Amino acid sequence: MSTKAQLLREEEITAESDLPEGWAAAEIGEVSHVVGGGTPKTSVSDNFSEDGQPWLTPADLSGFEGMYIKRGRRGLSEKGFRSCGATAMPPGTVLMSSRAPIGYVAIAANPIATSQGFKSFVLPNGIVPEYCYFWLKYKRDDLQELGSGTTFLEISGAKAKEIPFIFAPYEEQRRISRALEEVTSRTKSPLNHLGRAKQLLANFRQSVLAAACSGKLTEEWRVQHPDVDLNQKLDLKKIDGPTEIPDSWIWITFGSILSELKNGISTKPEIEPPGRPILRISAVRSGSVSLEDRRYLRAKEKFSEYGLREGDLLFTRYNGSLDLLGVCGQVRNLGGELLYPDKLMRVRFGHGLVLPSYAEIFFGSTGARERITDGAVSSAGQQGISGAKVKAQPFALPPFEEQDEIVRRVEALFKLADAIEKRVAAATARAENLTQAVLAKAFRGELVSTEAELARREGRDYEPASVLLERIRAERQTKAANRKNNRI
Amino acid sequence: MSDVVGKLWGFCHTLRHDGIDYGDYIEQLTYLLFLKMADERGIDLSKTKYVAGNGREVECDCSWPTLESKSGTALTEHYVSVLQALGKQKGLLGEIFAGALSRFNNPVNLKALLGVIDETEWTQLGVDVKAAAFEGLLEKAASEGKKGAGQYFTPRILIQSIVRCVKPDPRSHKEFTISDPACGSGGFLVSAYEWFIGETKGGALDRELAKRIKKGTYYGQELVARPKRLALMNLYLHGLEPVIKGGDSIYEVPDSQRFDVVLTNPPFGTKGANQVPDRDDFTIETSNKQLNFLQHVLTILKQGGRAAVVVPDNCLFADQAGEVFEILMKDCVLHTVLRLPNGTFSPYSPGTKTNVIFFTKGAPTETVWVYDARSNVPRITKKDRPLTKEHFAEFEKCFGGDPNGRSKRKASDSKEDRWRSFSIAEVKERDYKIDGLKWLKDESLDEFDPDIEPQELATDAIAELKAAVEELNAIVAMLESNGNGNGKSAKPAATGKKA
Repeated sequence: MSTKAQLLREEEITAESDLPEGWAAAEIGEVSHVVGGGTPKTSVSDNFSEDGQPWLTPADLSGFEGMYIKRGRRGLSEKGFRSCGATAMPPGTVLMSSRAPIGYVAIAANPIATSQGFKSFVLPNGIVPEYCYFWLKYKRDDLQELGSGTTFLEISGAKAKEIPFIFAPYEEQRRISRALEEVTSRTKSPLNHLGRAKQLLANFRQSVLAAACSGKLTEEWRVQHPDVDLNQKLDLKKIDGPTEIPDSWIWITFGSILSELKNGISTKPEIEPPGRPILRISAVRSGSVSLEDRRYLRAKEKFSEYGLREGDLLFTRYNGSLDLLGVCGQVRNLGGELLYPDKLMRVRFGHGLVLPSYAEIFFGSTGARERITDGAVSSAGQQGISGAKVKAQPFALPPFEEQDEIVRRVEALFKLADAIEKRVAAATARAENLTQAVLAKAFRGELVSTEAELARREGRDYEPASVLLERIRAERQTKAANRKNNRI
Repeated sequence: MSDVVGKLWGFCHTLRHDGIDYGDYIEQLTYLLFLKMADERGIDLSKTKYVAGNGREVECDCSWPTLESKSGTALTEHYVSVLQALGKQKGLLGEIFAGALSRFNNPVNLKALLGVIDETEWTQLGVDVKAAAFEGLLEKAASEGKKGAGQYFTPRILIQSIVRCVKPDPRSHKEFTISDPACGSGGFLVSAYEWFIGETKGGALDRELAKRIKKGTYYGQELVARPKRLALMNLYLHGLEPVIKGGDSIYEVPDSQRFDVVLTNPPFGTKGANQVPDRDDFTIETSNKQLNFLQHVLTILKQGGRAAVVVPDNCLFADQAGEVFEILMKDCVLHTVLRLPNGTFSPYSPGTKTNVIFFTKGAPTETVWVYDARSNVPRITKKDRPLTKEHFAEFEKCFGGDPNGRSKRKASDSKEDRWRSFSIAEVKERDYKIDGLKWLKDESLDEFDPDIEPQELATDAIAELKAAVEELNAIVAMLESNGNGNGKSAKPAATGKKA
């Protein structure tokens, strides 16, 4: 017995006094026959047959959500079956993958064999397969610890036998299994709903941006402010826009309201200080600039024209991913000096007509994103857009007062969405642990009434698991003896 | 025909600067068209008498030529008094002009519109042309997605498909009637009539039948004045003079009239639905508007009568949905459910998930067939992916020729496994919540469509979170029932030893 397994076992045994009344602890090898598997030569195609001997590899259990399994993707032909170490095990055998990865579990629905990537437990009468299945699921993290090997972790046959196993009296095992089946079959569904809610909230943000840029978000605001109109006041050149906007707005080219569009510094920065702080490209995301995501420039030049100011907009002009190309974030809460690199473009406005926050919202909307990345130039796996292209972007310009209102509303809605997302994330994290928590409860003997308790209440006897264990041991000894005798 | 619509529609853009939106525009157009056609038909409105506010009888020249002869403020003022006078008349005239108000501030615009209408000899146009022009305008107004225009507009493609399944044929027997208790601008009634005319292949109807169809076959009810007016006009242009009642279908106890066919799309949403209607014929008391409409339809159907009702998903899983559907499925054969594509009601209610349920009154349900036209069907959008006949072609084939759903049906009629049957036992297992009858996995969640309103997404997210809460509650209940020593599995043994 290895030291680690010994430790585990001792832990279980010392904890025996903590076992629920009537339960027993053993190594799984004491109560089951542990079987490995085998694979015929894969280069010989007639070793395999679709409808031959059912046969499993760990890959067959990847993504398998059921409890009982009938067969894997491939079966073995009679020739293949005979040529390798695979054994057909009876229905009710608990199958556990022992490598790549460790710890997938399923129950054989019919006679089935496995590859050597499995250690399977052929159970005697008295141990409920479903109970053993849930136990192994519960122990999944501990099972990883049992693995050894240099290239990939694997549980050897010997180690598999040492897996600790605590079990209840037979009837109680059945009750526990039934209750666990019932509960664990439902723990996934809330997660699905939460996942959908999360996705919907992401879509919600996009939808708010779309409504902001189409004027829908401020529809009643305009009714209340009928005098706010920008059409007559401006000498800007109107263009035909890609979508419909309110009458009081105009479409212009983005370039027509800019005073500056400038690429950053191409000198290579250092990862650690000292040096003058310069943003990394990854600092700019749609709708935000993370000022802490920085590098350090040790060059002598002053680069004074590359200093960032509050309210500057930065666009990414080069990126490996189209999703991160042409995204626009605004510089906010600038603490001190900060420069920006070559792969970013800095944009400043010439007129006092545009709130940078509104422009940031506009370029975050799906429509604007599609237009700006449309036909992006790709070279060496990187996608690029030019300053000219940014300048040529159509831009829906609302009156200044309305921009202010749009920004206020979008920020308020996003703040709410943030709060909700946090709660969804917290709920998700808890719901993810639900299955393990239910399993833990079950194996503490708290999920259903214990057999000991029921027997007491009903004034009857029951067979404690310790007696069951002795019986199983005795039966196995007899069998082993018989096998030996037969062999001689 | 599209010329006429095009011309009238083009004019609408001019009027937007006068503060007239699409809905207003169609309403004004309705008034003016009516006056013009009355004139063409030689109906004399030049000496229209009515009782004015001061109690005296006043005469007003409401004729088209007089209206047309005026200009400037005299025109706008005269138009106001014409509307007022006609609104006080009896019959169809009064109904169409009831509470009519002028929306024109600028006489130049009114004058120009009179000119556009005057150019066309409306009565010379065939019924189909005029009617199609009007329907075309309604549809266009709805698809512009402005508030108010869409709330009473069901996509015609959908209506026509439903009508082809239900086959409302006035020749079936002499008292045949069809009703839409939430008729909006009259789409179901108009399409039912158009379908029938198509069936007769343009052949002449005998006089008695023609008369019956004109006045005694099509019935509707509509709470809101404007759509009611548009419905009257719409049907009138089709050559029908139907009875369209005002008032709220679900709060008023209906008269004794019962119908052979009910086709309807009750309003979505829950606004103004807080009050529980006090009606003896409603078995389930609920404030849910759609569930009340269903109960209303149940009441007004004749025995053996059939119905198709458009309902949003929430009506299938709402609190008392199970109870209402349990009753419905005891009294009626609910033979078919059609899950409509996402965005069917784009652009004005793009996020509402909707269904059509088909049922026949008089016997309990044994089998429900569900057609899933939603899962993995790209969302319908206003411009790029509009609703087409193709969306329902396979469904109509699966539905079969019998309007009561008694055609021989088989799941293999759908190539993509969209058509399945469920026994009443399976429905009962789901507590009569028929939104649970799903089998296709939807893979399109990630796809984001900027046309969906934020509030729709927020509502969807709420539904998901609620569902998660419900599931989690169920888990808690399960754990509690097991853990306290009275678990289901432990019970038999415990009770067995009670003595």
